[in-house]
Amino acid sequence: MKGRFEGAVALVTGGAGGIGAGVALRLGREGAHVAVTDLSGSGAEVVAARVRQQGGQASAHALDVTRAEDTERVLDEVEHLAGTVSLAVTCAGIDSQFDFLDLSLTEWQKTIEVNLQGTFVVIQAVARRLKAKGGKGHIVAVASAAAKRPNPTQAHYGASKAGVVNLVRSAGVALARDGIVVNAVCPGVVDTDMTRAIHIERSRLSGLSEEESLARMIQSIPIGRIQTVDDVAHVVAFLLSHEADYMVGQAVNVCGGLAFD
Amino acid sequence: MGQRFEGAVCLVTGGGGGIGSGTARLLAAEGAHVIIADLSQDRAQQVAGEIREMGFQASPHAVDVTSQESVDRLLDDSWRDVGPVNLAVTCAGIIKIQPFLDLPAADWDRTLAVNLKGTFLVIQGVARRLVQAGRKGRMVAVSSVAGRGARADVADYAASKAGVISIVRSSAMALAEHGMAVNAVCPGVVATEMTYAIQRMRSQDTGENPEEMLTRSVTGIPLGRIETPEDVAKAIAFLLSEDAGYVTGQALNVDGGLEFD
Ligand SMILES: NC(=O)c1ccc[n+]([C@@H]2O[C@H](COP(=O)([O-])OP(=O)(O)OC[C@H]3O[C@@H](n4cnc5c(N)ncnc54)[C@H](O)[C@@H]3O)[C@@H](O)[C@H]2O)c1
Ligand SMILES: NC(=O)c1ccc[n+]([C@@H]2O[C@H](COP(=O)([O-])OP(=O)(O)OC[C@H]3O[C@@H](n4cnc5c(N)ncnc54)[C@H](O)[C@@H]3O)[C@@H](O)[C@H]2O)c1
Repeated sequence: MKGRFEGAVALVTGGAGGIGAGVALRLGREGAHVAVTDLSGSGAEVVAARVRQQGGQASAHALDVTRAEDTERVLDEVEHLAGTVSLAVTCAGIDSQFDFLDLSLTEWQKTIEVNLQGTFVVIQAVARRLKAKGGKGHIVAVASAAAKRPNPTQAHYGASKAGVVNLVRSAGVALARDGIVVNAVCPGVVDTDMTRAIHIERSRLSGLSEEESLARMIQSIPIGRIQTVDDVAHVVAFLLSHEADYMVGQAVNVCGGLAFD
Repeated sequence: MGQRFEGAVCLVTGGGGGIGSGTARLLAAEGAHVIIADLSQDRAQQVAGEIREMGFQASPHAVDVTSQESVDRLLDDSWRDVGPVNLAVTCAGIIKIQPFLDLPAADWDRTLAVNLKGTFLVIQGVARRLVQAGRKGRMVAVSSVAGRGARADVADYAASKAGVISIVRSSAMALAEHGMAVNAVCPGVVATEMTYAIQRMRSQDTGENPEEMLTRSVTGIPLGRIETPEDVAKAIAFLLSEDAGYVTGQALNVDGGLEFD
């Protein structure tokens, strides 16, 4: 498996987070130069240092994915430092829990802006540069099983992720003949800070303890255990490789059987 | 890619056909001992012979997947002669073009027997033996984009392939607690004898040249080229590998962008 991404430059957004860090480490192990980006520049630096510690190449960049100019600036930096980005994984994302009737328009807009608009901005910017250079590449967006299920306490999040699934279809078909492969993964319940924060917030809504709230969620997963960031990173790596060149615009559920379609 | 399947025994039904033989070659090259099982003993022997000539491990076996007895014999012989069958790929399948109003009930029964019942018998047979032996395993069924969409002139085939997606989900849920994963792939238009036969049958009805018909259907694929058995094999191999450990009950469209859900 070693060396599938030798010589390639990979951009990871939300790279300081749980899934983003797992993806960055995996791509670094397989030979890519990993541009670890995050809203938190210092968080990105910590992950880039871990990639380098395991013998890989990485740089860290502060990037707010809701800002198109920020994305262009970071892509310029990365291009100057390591070359054109031909692999991209969009992991930047936010979530919050509200009863449907209490969900504010501000919260709705903020979530759509980061999760959906942020994904669009990055996919388009990376693909434009790749196409201008005549290069081929692979892009994976991290959507969520929430895109395919009802989300009574996170309608905004579910809608943003369903938007990502459809965005990936459109981008996948639009870019297929340019050799730019765009797909998504839909994780289920991953052992990260986001999941812990969700259950702290849900315990406020449901009155269950935080531990009980998470335990019940895990019980409902057919595969019977919580998902690790590596479970996600393995599938992301597959979709970034030539093994997946005939897959166009798909959203692969990596969720232990929580969702289908 | 290294040897992802070293020490594994992988049953490939329809192993004498285009997708089956392509998949068997890839799995054997990555270390598996492949059992090439097919209704046509000649083709099974030929494919197994070719794989052995390449220096890999393969055994031919005749099977009619519509018969419980025949599937049991195949599995018992394989366990005895080769070892525990812990991976399986069901590629056996048939198709016949005919107008919906003329589709005879007997043809419906035959198509459902091979494509759907045959898939069920193999999944259940492999799983029963693994559960009894306390072993884990992974299986992939070959469905089709026809299982996702409408097909006026192969209604029986489309129904059988939609059924395959369903049995994959149900068996995945049933087998998760035993550490087994079951998934499907939905290929699009693959360069195999089945596809060429379809073009011949359709051209007989319309009077069109079969090559022109094929060119026209390939033009409709967003990716712009026909699918190869290797394109399908790579996705199957991924789903059989440890990297897909958290993926179960899923049907992956590997189709150049023809279908989504
Ligand atoms: N944790 C889960 O169970 C789960 C399940 C399905 C999908 N996901 C998705 O996976 C992705 C990663 O989630 P995670 O679990 O690693 O969460 P996380 O909170 O650990 O990581 C998210 C990262 O995104 C960054 N971020 C937030 N807003 C940003 C912005 N505007 N610009 C750039 N970066 C920004 C954060 O700083 C953080 O580092 C998210 O898109 C999330 O929705 C997570
Ligand atoms: N060719 C395509 O475009 C395409 C697209 C989507 C799905 N598929 C599916 O992929 C699978 C393989 O198709 P292919 O294109 O390689 O076709 P193929 O005709 O080359 O191979 C099918 C094989 O199945 C065997 N078979 C038929 N009936 C059997 C039975 N009762 N028991 C055991 N074996 C039997 C045949 O002998 C043949 O070797 C099929 O299930 C097909 O429906 C094919």
